[in-house]
Amino acid sequence: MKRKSILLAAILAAFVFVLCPDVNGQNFAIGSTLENFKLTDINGKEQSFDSLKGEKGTVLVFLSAQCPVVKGYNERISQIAADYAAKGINFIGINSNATESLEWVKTHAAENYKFPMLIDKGAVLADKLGASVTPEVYYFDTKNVLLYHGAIDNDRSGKNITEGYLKVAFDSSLSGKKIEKTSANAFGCSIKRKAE
Amino acid sequence: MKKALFDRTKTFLLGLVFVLSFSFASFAQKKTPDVKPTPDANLPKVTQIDETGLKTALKPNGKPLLVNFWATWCDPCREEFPDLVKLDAEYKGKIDFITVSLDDLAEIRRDVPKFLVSMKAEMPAYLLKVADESAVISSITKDWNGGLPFTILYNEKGEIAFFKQGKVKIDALKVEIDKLQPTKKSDEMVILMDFVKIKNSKRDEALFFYENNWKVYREAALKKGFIHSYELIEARSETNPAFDIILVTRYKNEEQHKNSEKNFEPILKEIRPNGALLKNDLKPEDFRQNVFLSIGKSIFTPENQ
Repeated sequence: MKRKSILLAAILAAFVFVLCPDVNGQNFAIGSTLENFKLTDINGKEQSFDSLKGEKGTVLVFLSAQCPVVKGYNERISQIAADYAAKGINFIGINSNATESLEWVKTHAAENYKFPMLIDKGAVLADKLGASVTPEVYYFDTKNVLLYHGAIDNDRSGKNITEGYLKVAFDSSLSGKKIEKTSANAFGCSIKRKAE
Repeated sequence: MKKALFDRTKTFLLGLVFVLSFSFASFAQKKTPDVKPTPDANLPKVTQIDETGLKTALKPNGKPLLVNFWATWCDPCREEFPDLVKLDAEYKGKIDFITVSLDDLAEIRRDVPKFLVSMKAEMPAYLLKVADESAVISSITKDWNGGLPFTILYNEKGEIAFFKQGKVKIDALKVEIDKLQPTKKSDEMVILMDFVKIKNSKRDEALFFYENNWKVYREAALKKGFIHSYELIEARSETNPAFDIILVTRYKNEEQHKNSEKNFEPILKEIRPNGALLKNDLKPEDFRQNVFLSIGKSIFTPENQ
């Protein structure tokens, strides 16, 4: 009887584990594959990941219209996006902040980025990936496999960059080399999942 | 003709304003990092630390340690700060609490101390400046992605007890801190047990002695709230027992126990100013011997009591 109960509990636990969404994204590790998803862009048009993908890879960059760290990175993000769009890597901006109005996001995106900006209402994508900071990047290959996650580089001010993590990851994968550093953290603004 | 002239003047003036504004903005932007902050004696001290300094700062010193990573540019950090200052005042002495700013080094004598003084913050304040932020973040916990604010609580052994990226719920944080507070010894009942051996089979003399002295003192002490309760237990044993009587005095807490001598002295003097009442001429040493004294604490009692 006791053995049956344990077996039942184990089956139930496995069932829950498989079915429950990974709200913290702890399981979305390097090497995980992202399924196609659809989100609305800042112009109200539904966009799919597959339709916005680059020929050589895709970057999801979690952004904020208010975060000073993002503001400090805007120029660099824009430059890197332009440089690598020419090499087949597309950027997709994601805003998951519940506290930022569509108008703010729209204005901020128009002033700073040329790549599409999607609104992640309810932070569904952020939860899936475990994104929690802005700016935070996820770099996928052509098969949507996660190659690199985390910081763009190691200096918020942009004055003393000694490690250009994202660019190094791009260059390594584009030249068919192994990406040595597949993740790096950086100080940034927490994604505000609900109005506090 | 006049209109054309007006339009040209207007264009020129607008252009001039634009150029001047741009030049001023560029000048201000370039100059800002070079401005040497003026030390202000009235501002709180913010200590610059690196990786090694942080490691040292994160070592608890016999108490739980609460650390808040923040920055003046971080809205939620500023929003939660008043609550953290209140928490610091509430838990002063019970925990150590430090703040670590991730502001630019140029702000160490400007915005950071100015903000702290506006908040009336008394926590030791640090500003972290490291070459490899990624390594520092990972060294704190693998679950931190670097988002601010970040609040982390260590127990007195330096183990992580709680952390929160984003604004912390103060009530939840208090619960976590309270869990780390040592069980207050003063709240535990102290039980004093005096094991007594009856000498020369003088049981009557012994029981008379305890009933008319020990018990009377304790009744008085009970009325005055100096003890929790008392009990005399007679042990029964067939063969050569080590003791025959256990005199139990229960004190509500350690403080009550500590004050027992001071509290009993006036009671004894008042009730028996000429010494203990005895059944007959036999002195206490003739009918009883204190074998040993033991102090205990209650582990469990019936659930309904």
